[in-house]
Amino acid sequence: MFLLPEEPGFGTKPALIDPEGGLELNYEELATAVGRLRDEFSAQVGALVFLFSDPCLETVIAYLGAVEAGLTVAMIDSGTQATSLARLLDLYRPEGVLGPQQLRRMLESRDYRFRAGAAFAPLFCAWREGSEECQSIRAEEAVLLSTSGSTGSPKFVRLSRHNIESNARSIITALGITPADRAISSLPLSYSFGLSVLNSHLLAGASVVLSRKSLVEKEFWEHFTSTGCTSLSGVPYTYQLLRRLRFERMSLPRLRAMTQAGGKLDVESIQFFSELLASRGAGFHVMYGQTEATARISCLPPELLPRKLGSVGTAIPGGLLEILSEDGRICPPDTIGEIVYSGPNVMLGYARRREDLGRGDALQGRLQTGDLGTLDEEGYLRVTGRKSRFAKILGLRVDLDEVEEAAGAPAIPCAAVDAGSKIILFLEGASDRDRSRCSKHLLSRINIEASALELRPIKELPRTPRAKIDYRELKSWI
Amino acid sequence: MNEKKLKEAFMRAFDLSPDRDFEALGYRKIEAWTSVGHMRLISEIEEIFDVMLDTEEILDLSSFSKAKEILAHHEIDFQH
Repeated sequence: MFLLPEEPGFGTKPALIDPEGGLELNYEELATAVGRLRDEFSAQVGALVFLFSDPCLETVIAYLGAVEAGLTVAMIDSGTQATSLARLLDLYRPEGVLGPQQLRRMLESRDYRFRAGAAFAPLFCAWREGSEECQSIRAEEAVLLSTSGSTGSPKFVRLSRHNIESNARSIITALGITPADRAISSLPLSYSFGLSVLNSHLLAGASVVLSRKSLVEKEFWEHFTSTGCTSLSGVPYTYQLLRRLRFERMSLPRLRAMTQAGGKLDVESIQFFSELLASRGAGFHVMYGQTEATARISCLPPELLPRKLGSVGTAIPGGLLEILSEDGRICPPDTIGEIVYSGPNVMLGYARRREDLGRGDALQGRLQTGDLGTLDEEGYLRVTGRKSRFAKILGLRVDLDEVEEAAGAPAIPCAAVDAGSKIILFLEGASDRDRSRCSKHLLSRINIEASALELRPIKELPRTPRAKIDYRELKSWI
Repeated sequence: MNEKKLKEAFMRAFDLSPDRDFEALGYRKIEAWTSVGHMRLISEIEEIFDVMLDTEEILDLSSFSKAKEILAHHEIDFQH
């Protein structure tokens, strides 16, 4: 079964733990629940379903059951706003939606009908009318993940079942995950990093604690300690937050590993956590990845710190890293070029609308990451910057082109620039009223912190001789 | 006086107007009070009252009244 360990002997081991409800599902019970749902979904083989990724038992069962039945599951962030959801429904026309009860009225107005499912009480499950006679061919896409974390962006990465399983297997080896490990849902399941924590721990026969609480709530830490979690995963922002919370004073006796990905953590913090964890017999794993590679691309073993400080490690097992110059040649060691990754976890391709599903494998296992970096003589990767137009805000990737598109003011030329911890959107000839209108519009369409977005009216945008916006000039204005 | 300062911290952290019902504010109850917003609030409070909150206090500060309760332990008086 999809992501469930095949070796015997896992039956009575806890797979999923819901600390709030005091519920625990062992591997045998999980397999039974997934099997029941697979049978229920078997009439819908090849269908696309939106799954709201609230961290709870039902979400995980639905995810595993739908993929096992041959459906495509698009993971939708549970914080997705109504306007973004409406747009996604228009573009993708999913046959089914699995989500919270509050969606019922909206979905019923769009010809979705509620269907009671025995396996499924707490999740709302609705199917679009007339979708009963759908494809009946197993979908090649098992999972769709948004490219920008929690925004309501319609751009998804298309992942096959093989992508997910191979990446989970590589992660198990690279991090040394054992059945004795216990992870907690500290990141959303709609985010590739968060989903990879679930995938790898299930496949390893370890346990996953599904907490709805966030790191700034004391219940999260109660869940962490009472269930005996052994690992914690976070993006750079998580680690900044942990330092503010004075993580060094917390008592987490069973903690064995912490993993960091989702952007560049400053070397001072890497040193801080690596020394702290080493003194407690635990390891700090610096990693690198992309949703386009399912999740993980490279990992740095903790014992190589501080020797390889600043590196994100070597390629995961089964993967290959190369640095290419602008003319496509392999760069010599320690020379900056584009990071190119090859491996079985490279996505099938992107999707922007329903018609893009089933388009086959566009990348053939080779991903040009759009990140710039170097490899040293021993194959250790350093990421130095980005080639293309993305900003990383609080660990989430934000497509600057989409920010411009979402500003929703066609009469006002605008240009979005990555200013490190925030995005600056320059608005040409905009009045104060334009500015506040744009700001409202943007915040309702893109799930970004208001403080991470600055709207700056300017008289005229700098342009190149070919009338294209001169982003290099704009960057120098920051 | 201190109540007004505390309201100021909340207003700055979450971009609120002064006529808000502060007693009704809570973690995740308003859109701006996310984990990121929470740390912004903590910074505002620490700056305005010149205090240093510890882990327990940061995790416990989930509403306006909780904030008053916690600050009272730092000898910040909300009775007058």
